[in-house]
Amino acid sequence: MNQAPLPNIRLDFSLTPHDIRRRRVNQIMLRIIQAAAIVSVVPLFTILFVIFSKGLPQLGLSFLLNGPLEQPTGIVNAIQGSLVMTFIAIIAAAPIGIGGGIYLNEYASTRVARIGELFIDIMLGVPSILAGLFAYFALVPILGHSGWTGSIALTVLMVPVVMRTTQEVLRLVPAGLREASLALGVPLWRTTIFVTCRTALSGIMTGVVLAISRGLGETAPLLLTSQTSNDVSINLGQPMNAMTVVIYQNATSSDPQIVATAWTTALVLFVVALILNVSVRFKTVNNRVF
Amino acid sequence: MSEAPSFRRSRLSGELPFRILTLGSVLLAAALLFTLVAVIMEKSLILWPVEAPLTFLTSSGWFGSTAPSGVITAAFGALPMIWGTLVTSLIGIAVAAPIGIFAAIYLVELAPKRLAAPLTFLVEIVAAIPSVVIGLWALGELSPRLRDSIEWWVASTVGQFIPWLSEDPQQPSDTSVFRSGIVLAIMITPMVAAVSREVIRSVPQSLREGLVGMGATKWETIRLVILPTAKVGLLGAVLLAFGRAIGETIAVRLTIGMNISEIPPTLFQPGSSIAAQIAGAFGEASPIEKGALAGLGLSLFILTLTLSLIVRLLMWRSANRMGART
Amino acid sequence: MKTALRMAVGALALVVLSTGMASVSDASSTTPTITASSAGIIQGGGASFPNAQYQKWITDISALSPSVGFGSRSGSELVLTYTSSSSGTGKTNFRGANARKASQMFSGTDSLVSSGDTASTNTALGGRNKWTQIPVTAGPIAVITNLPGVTANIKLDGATICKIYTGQIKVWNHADILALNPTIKALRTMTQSIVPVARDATSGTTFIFVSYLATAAGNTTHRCSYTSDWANTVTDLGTLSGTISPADAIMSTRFSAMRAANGAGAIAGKTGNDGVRDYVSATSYSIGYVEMAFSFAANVRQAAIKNNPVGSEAATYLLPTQSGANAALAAQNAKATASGASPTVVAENDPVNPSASYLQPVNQVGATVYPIVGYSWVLLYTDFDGTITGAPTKGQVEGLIYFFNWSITKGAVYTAGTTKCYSPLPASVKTRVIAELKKVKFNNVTVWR
Repeated sequence: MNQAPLPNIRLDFSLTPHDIRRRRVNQIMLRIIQAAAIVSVVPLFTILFVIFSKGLPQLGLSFLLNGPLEQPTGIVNAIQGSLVMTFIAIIAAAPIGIGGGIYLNEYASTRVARIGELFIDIMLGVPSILAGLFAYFALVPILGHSGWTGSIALTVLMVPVVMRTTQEVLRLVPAGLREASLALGVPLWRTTIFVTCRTALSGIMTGVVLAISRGLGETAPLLLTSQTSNDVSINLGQPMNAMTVVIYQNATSSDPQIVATAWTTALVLFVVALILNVSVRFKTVNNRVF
Repeated sequence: MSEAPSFRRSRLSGELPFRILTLGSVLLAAALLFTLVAVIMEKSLILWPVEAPLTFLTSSGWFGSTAPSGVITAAFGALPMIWGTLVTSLIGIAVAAPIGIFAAIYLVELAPKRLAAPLTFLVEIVAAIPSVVIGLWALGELSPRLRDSIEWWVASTVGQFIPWLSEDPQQPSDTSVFRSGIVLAIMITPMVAAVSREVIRSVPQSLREGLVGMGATKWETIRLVILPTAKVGLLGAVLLAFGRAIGETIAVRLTIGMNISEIPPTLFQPGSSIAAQIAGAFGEASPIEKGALAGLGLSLFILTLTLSLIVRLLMWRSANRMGART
Repeated sequence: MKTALRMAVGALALVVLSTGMASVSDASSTTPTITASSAGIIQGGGASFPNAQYQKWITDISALSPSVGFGSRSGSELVLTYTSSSSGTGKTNFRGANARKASQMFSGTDSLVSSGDTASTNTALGGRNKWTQIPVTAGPIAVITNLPGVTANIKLDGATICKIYTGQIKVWNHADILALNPTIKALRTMTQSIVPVARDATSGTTFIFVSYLATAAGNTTHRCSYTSDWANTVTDLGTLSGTISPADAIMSTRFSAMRAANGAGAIAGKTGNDGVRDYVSATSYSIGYVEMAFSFAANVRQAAIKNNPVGSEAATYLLPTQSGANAALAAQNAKATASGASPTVVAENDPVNPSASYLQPVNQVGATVYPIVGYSWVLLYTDFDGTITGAPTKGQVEGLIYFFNWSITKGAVYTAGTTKCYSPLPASVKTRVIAELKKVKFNNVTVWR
């Protein structure tokens, strides 16, 4: 570092060896910390690069709109399956999650709320393969390998995501808002819906979108439940394809054409995940102040 | 939390139904969790007469068949899978913890304002990549590179003296426990970073200023104030990520090699993990093997349950200490 | 718009076709018909051995869409799906909760349905006359190796392969292997342990492979332990003397005691034909067995297998080929239909609704006969009930019959590059399979009349 020449007054600014060491350690550690930050985002760029370079050549309108048995081959059934099963799952998971979050934050006593938190933790920690195992054992005998079974497996995974987010954003709503509403004589339930939840709406929606994002990205539970199908239909009563399952099953093929399908599907899925996350991101940024 | 007991008891129309509805949601969610555990437990019952729980957890070998006569020949041992699960997750967390925590420190303490927001965003995007996409990339790109670089280098240096880091140069495997660990590291680093970031942000500004005022360098502030204050929270972040690594299925399945019968002699050979084995063997499993897979599922649940409980306890403790709920 | 046009043409063609058929009335038609504008899914699963062939047939018949009506959209077309797992899963699902539904209309298997499985299937479906087991394709099994430095196909015979899997031969430069391969120098110094790879589930591919070992290994290796007096704890093949009894059991289980006694490590169990291929491809000094379609991968070479020569002719070593497999099917078929043959011989060689004593066409005699060949069967319900929940419509059942008839009579063989990997059925077997297809009923009415 260049030091400007000092004026006449001589002060002893010279550093003791100890200080020099401290400075050096500081420099080294800060570099290491900086490097760690860079390292943590490097995979993103390499993955992006590989997915685009391997997936883009096959990507076209026909890939998105054709069925797997049509020429040229497409993944419309997998896209449909992913969307439909995730949609059904979120229809079920969002009310349960939001309702539960509301109860835990607005109604439950501190002790009940704590037990509830613990439950959400445990549910969030349940590995997705176990949701698949559960749905396979409990539901495949009744509903068969079907879109319904897959949707229920996803629901189990989405509920805690919505509930946790709802509870957290409701906690951030200033008590003053609630009190003002209550003071006006608005009953608690109406206050909760029209004041508290409304204020936290974008936060709650974030939870819902995060859950959707989780559902679209899950593979393991669908492998055991909805399996695969060549069919382009939204009939939930029969086996259904999903984008993640297509990637998984095509990944290990020795036929380069089939592996290419995996990469292109990965590209599509990645873009969808990106859009969802970016949308959440900007929503939250815009509404940081509840 | 609302403090309005008088209103809670008010009998205004809608109050009770709404309350019941929301309470119902909580109970439904709890019921889902209980059913999940109960069903998996029930399905594992077929296994225990053939294989006692303790033997199941501590032995190796994975086969079972039913003869035409109906006689079941089976020996199911979960040890190689449990070993593989823990070792891959430990490798993952050993790499992800320092990188993730340091990255979080950078984001909160060091990064210029212009850089902090986009960088945080990028880290979050990594977390949002579906695991099957990471698995595909790891299988096709990362894994062969790791084998020819780090693995080869370690095996030909340290590996000469440490048996479990060795590799037969004649037969490098396409899949290995080590590589699955690295893939897990990539997947959980953003999680460590994101949670750590929240924890570090909650360290009171006054503590930092105190030390800076005394002439401490940036690193000294980090080492003497931030890390000690955030210690419990950071531990929570690491354990949370560890739990995620334990349950990860697809990316591990694609990179670990599914060696189900024994603990591999070195980290550079194929192994297996609980979740990967459930996903991989399910399609072909006989009824007795399905029981064994349910047994595996149960052990996986107990592992993640323990972790969830520890993390929650830590968070409560740290919340009490910091005087606020985080 | 194009699809709409195609569909219109297709529907028209079908109408013309079906009215044409109606005029022929009761006379048995040469091809099954599909009711115009039939739609829905036709789903099956099981054995991974025939998967490549089934997927090709499914893709091909769907490409014929305008004239037949198969495609990707179940709203207006018939959609075929085959989920590859294992023969064991195929057999279990065949009698499972979803039996006879559109999502479980047939199963694939290349192992026999054991007496125990037959009993439970009969119970589930209401009798042996409610289902049939028909061969639809056949193929050779390749023994594959991954030997660094070896650029030729090594030669192996039944006894040697048996000794490798039972742990009697543990290293690649064992005298028995060198004796078969005197010209391959790299083998002489190959002191590495052999890594045997097998399937980790009850597999039809294993069934064909061990049927070969049981017949080709000879008495010196005591039929490679696939004898009726085998027990789980057998450590010495020399003690066995029972009759041949191949089973699709997991090889690592079967040979664990024997391998331990011989001081050899465990057999690596892998999922599916592709799992075995991938593992062998990734693991140097390994050996495995897969359907020929799965034998092409990096580092993987097929082994040349010793044939069963006629009389005193010299033995030759053959790589798996479709013609070698065809010859095996023909040789077996000749025995099954030989006049004056005793009933037991016929049963042993008849692949249509095979009896418990049936043997896959392994180790058949002939100069060009590849010795490891097997049929792959489809388990088919002969009595579809349109009233159960999730049941297929008449059109879906017709589509199923149409598909299998088309596959065995017109379907193209799956090729890897230019190599044909599966064999068509011998003519007489084909005729009998078609007769079985004509037995299938929907709501008590024969579908193909």
